[in-house]
Amino acid sequence: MSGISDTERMITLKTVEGTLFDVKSSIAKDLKTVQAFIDDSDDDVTSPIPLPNVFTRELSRILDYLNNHHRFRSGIEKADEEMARYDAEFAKSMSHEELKALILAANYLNVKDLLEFLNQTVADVIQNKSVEFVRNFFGIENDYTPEEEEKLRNENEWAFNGVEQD
Amino acid sequence: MKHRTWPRASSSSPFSSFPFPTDTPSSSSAAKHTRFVRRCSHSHPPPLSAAPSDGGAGFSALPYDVMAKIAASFDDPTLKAASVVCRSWWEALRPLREAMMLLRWGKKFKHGSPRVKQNAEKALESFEKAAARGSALAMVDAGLMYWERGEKQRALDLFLKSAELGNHAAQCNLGISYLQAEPPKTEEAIKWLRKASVGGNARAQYQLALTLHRSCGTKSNMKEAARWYLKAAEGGYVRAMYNISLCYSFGDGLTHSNQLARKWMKRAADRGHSKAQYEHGLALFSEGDMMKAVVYLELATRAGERGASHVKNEALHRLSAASRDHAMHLADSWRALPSK
Repeated sequence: MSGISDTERMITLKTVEGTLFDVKSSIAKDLKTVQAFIDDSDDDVTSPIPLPNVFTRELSRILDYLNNHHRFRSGIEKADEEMARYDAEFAKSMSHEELKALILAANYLNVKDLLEFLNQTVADVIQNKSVEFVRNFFGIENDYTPEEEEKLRNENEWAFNGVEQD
Repeated sequence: MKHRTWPRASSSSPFSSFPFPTDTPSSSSAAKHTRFVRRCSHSHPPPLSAAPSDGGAGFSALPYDVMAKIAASFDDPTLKAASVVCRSWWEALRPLREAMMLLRWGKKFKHGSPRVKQNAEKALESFEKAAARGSALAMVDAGLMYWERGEKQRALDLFLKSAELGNHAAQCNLGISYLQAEPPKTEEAIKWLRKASVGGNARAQYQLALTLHRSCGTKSNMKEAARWYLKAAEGGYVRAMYNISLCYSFGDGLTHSNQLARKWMKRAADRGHSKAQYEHGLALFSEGDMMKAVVYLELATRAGERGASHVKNEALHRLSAASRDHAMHLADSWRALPSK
């Protein structure tokens, strides 16, 4: 084993649809699920790694995100402004369905930074909003009957305010 | 109150305490941690955990562990609202609601309340229980208590956990902890302070600016530092106001502007920054506004700024007895404007 640095190695990933992606091992490190698999295979990964739950669209987005962020990090000043702009665009460019699919893929692949960003994006929407707003925004159907919902809201109130009144 | 602000070559960290998360958004995340299969003997990575079975169509079908991470830093009202959105969210957020209650108890034990006696042990216990249910804010509170007791590693572990859930106060604390390590872990610190700064935490923004300012090798660092000082100042952080004033005054990292230097120095002074009070008093003195100069210089003197009293006396000479009295009266009744 002579002088081939870790970052030069390429890993091949295969999506549900059978699409192959060649990924630098330095990027693959950010896909912690994949990295764990590589570690467990004693680094002997020559054939494509199948990802049974990840679709091409999602993997492509994830790799875009990681590649861009690696680029930003290795650069110098103003990187975080550019990065913030990229992130904002990235989030905006997706429909809710796409966002949700991406969250699931990022969760499965355990891509920490991306997942944190996506979760924050969703959390920011929900923060300080009403129930109705959240339902509308995400297209979530209310599966409670009016009576159930009324009871819940009251129960919720009690759970938080009742017993501990000072 | 003395302020060490402008970086000095041999200063130790100016921070003796962490931001206390009094009314930061609460944070809770599920007790149900992602059951992650780390060691895998299959020929491919393990499949997804099953999502709740309501059509899988939208955000109502997010897995519980994802829901928990998203909701990790929700405040009380948001958590309540989110809980009622649909059945699966109610279930997913159950551990967080429990955590919220435990968090409230923890705070009562920590500070005491009309019906609850102060009890540090019980406070910590409550925070830990809430943290175990995934409350990112409780992790911070528990971490702060451990830090105060000198159990730094435990504090760090908790801050890290919370920081990874996106909690900005935790990210800030983590960054500060890394700066205080022996030897300092500056790169890690900057990484976490950046996250908190981008997320709007003013203290982190200030601390990041300070760190960049100190590692003063490059011009680009100074530009970035100045940017963050400005953000922190705009976010109400008083020390940042003083520093940004100096940046404008020397054209350090941004374009020189006496006007802006003046504006920010006054703001810092009005919020109790003693050096700023001195500087602002000096500026007023040199403009001939003796009355106001005396007030600020008196405040600075009382706060221990050496040199302020000398100039103050100069200014006093030039005032009538009545004006002197009035100036002292103003100084006596002065109150700092609120800040972060």
